[in-house]
Order: sequence, then C-alpha cells, then structure tokens
Amino acid sequence: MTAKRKSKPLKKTLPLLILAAPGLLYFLVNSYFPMFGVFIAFKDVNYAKGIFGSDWIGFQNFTFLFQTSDAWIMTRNTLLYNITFIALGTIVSIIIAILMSELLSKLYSKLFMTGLILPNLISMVVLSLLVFAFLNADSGFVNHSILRPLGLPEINWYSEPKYWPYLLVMIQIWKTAGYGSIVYFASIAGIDKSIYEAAKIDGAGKLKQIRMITLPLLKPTVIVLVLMSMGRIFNSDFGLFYQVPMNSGALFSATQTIDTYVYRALMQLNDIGMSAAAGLYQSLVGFVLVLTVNAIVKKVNSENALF
Amino acid sequence: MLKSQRQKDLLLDSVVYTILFIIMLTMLYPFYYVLIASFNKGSDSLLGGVYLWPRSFTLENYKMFLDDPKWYRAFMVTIVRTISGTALGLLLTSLVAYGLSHRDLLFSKVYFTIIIFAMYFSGGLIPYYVVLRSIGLLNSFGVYIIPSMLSTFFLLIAISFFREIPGELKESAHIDGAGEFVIFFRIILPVSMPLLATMALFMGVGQWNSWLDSAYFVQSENLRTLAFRMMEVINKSNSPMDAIAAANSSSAGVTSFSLQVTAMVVSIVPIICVYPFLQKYFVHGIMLGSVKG
Repeated sequence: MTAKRKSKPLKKTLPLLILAAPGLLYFLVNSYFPMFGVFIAFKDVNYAKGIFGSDWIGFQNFTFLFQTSDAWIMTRNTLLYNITFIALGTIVSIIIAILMSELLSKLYSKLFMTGLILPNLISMVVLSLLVFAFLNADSGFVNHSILRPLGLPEINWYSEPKYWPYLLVMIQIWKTAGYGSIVYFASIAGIDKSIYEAAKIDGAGKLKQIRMITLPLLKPTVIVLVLMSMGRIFNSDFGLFYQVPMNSGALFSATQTIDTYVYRALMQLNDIGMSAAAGLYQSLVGFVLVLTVNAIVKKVNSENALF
Repeated sequence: MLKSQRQKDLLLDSVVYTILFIIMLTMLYPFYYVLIASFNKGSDSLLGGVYLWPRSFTLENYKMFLDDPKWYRAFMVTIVRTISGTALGLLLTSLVAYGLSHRDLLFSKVYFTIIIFAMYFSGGLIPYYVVLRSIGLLNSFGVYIIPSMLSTFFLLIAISFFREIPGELKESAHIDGAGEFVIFFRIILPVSMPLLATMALFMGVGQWNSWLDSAYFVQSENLRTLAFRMMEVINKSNSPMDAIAAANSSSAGVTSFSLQVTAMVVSIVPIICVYPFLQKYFVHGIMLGSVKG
C-alpha cells in the first residue's frame, strides 16, 4: 500500500520532471558554475600563469580593498541609496496610486498608466542621454532655460558631487515609481467597494476614507514589496550609477557603488583579484543581510517571510 | 452638511487632476524634449532653448542615422536578439515553471532551494566571465541570448501563475489521454496570456535595452547592439567642445548630440509601438510579482 502510494507520484510527475529538466540543468550551469569561481578572489591573478596557475595569496586582496577609502564609500553609498530608493519610492508610488484610483474613467486611468510605465521601459543608456540633455553645462535645459533666465548662477552639474545624491534619487524615482504605482493601483482596485460606500454614508470624506480604509488595506502589499527590495539592498543598478553620471571622475564620492567599483577595478585598474574580492564581498554580505532580514520577519510574522 | 462635503470633494478632485497632470508632464516631457531635438538642426540645438517645437526643422539627423551602416547593423542585431531571446526565454521559463508548479513533484523542495539560493547569492562578474569563456560564449551572438534565458524572478512569477490555474482543466485532458507535453501547449499556454504578455514585455525590453553584455563579453564590432552604440557615442562626446567641433565639420548641421537623440528616438519607438498590445494583460501580470510564490 505504502509502496504503491510512493510510486504513483513519481510515475505521475515524471513527465513533468522531464519537461523541467533541461531548464534546471541549464540553470545549474548558468548560476552555480560561476560560484566555484569565487576562489579567484584569493589569488594573485597573473595573465602569464593563467587563473588556475596563479599564486594563492589568502585574504590579501581583501586586506588591500579594505585599506582603501573606496570600500567604505562604496558600501555607504550602496546602502544609503537603496534605503532612500525603497522608502521614497514606496511613498511616491502609493501617492500616485491613490490619486489614480480617484480618476473615475477607465480610459483615463489606462492612458495615464501608459505614460507612467514609459520611463520604466527605457534603458539606462537612453536615460543617461535624457539627463544629459537637461543637465549639460551649456545648452542643457536646466542651465539654459531655467537658471539663466532667472539670473541664477549656472551649475556645472557633471563636476559637482554635492548635487548627485538628490539627482540620482530623483532619476530613480522618476524611472521606477510608475511601475510601483501600478502594482498599488491594482491592489486598491481589489478593495471591496462597499467598504467605501459604508464610510460615505457615515459621513467620511475622501481624505478620511484614504486614511482609514485604503492605507491600512495596502499594508500587506507594501510589506511584501519592501521585503523583496530589501533582498537586493547590497546590489545597485550599474547603469544608474555609472552611465547616468557619465562616468565622471569628479563625482565618484557620490556615485561609487559596489557594482561600479567591481567594473572599474577590472576595466580601469586592471586588477582582477581586487575586482573579484569586491564582488565576493558584495555577494556574501548581501546574502547574510537577506538571511537576517528574513529571520527577523519570520519571527514577527512568518507569513511575510521571503522563503 | 452633505453639500459642503460634496463641495469639498469637488475641490479635492480638481486638486487630484492638477497633480496628476503635473506628474504626467514630468514623465513625458523629457521624451518630448528629445523628440523635437531629433527633428531640429543639430547646430541650432547647441544654442539651447529649443523646448516647445523644432526651431529649425530638418530630417538630416534621421538621414545621417540611416545612412550609417554601423547603426543599421546594430539595429538589426538588436532586433534579432530581442525576438530570439524573448521567444527562447518564454519557452524555457514557462516549461520549467510548469513542471515546478506541481506541488507533488518528487524532491520539489530541493529545486526551490536551488533556485532561491541562486537568487540571492552569485559568484560575481569575474567568475561568470570565466565560465562564459570556458564554454565558448565570449564574443559570440549566443552570449546575448543563452545566459539570460531563465531568470529566477520570472520563474517564481510563472510558478505562482500556473498554480492559480484550476486543476479541473488538466484533469479532463488527462482523462482524454493527453500527455503533459500536449496539455502544456494546448491547454496551459492558451490560458496564460497575462503571464506570457507580461514576461514577453519585460524580457523583450530587457533584450532591446541591453548594453552591458555587449560591453563586457563582446569585442566584435559586428555584434554591437543599439544600446551599446548609443553608450559609445554618448561617452565619446560629452564635452561641448567636441560637439561644436563636430557641428562645424558637418555641412548639414548634424552634431553628435543630434545624432544621439535620433538614435534614442529610434530605440524608444518600437517599445511604444508594442506596448499597447500587451497592456491589456499587463496589470494582472504585474500583480503576480507582488505575490509570493
């Protein structure tokens, strides 16, 4: 009896496994083979000797990395930018979603969504050009058409790091808030309309309805989305931090993240070991952070945990 | 009392419309700004102040763009990689997801652990480079398509979507003696349009916009993508002196900036053309992303 029970799922699900097998195999090669390569971070890579023949140097790459101020700057930037993106992005998305749900006609909200999602669909290269069109020193929109007519001093945007934290946050929100607001909009659309009717009869105005009904009911969606983005808090969008500031050296203190460092160490310093060390540092600490966040969430409310 | 409430709501409505209008303007104006720049004479744009309509209308920028075999080549490479990459990605992702969506699968937990671990831990860029080199994908067209065929994010979304499909659909097909392969293609895929459309949109856009893989893994000039060419041109000439020098050398008044904005318009138009066809499935598809698998 038990034997029969056990063999039945296998027989039944074997065809399903066969369907999934090529993809799973592919996944192993693609995602797990590179993991064996982390040993490169512990080598003094020498082109003449090849990767496998290069000398082991233990943690020397890491010691060098953390002796520079780069390590601190890139870690700080990556974390602070991500936290700001998550917090501000969530707030802005929810505000837009609530405003959209006040738009009664379906046609309008559809048109509106098309406009909102557009920034999400362009590449960072295109975005960097858009930003350049607005910020370039001479004929850019901001200097030429706003600051100059107002008689204000013009700003050399690509050489002044102090503006970039604000600029990068604005750019990121501009690009991603539309997507988030569509998710929240759909959650709001899923709220039972009769709750609002009842509140209306009780004399609650729109603002009160939003505060007492919409926001509390959005909470589960907010938690899931914030947690999912927390999982990538040690990663950054390379294009945003490298391409959008035009790889300008003057801006490094404000634009260097772990991802841009990995790239620059490889392409500009030609230091494979250092680059690999920074990559492994990112992977490991990021992974530990995810585990920690997940463990905390599991303790508070196991339903919201990531895994 | 009720009336004043209504007046208050009316006021609120007009505030809402005004804010939404401003939001829409900030979202769309940058696109409009470069659109008119692409129809404006490049040397004239350098003077600045073109922000409502082309001041000195010309089609020279587009002519120059189309005449350049480098851009044409990049455009074609991008089209081919987008179509083939999206098709293969859709097929592989939905096949794996369909298999894994069955909870009674043997060792089901193992597969999920494997997938989720890889989502949060990776070997990093350099080990990845070494793997690509050892399987011979470096500097080939395959590097655009093969490594990105299966993303864990879409895989999890697809699994949660397939789990929503009522089991009776499959049951009846089973009774008719259909195999899993037939069921997948004949029954499951046709009812999965919201999922497929959303994945197609984001995979397609990802392929279309991709430039990092071209920068990291490819040296051949013949394999450059549109986004990479744009990046190249942008990085080469972001000092105004270069741009002015370029303007003086070209009789038609085409500058590197006007060529860039033209390339940009060319790269956005296909996305705008495809999007409306996918939008109707899209909201449901996006929602899946906020629901845990």
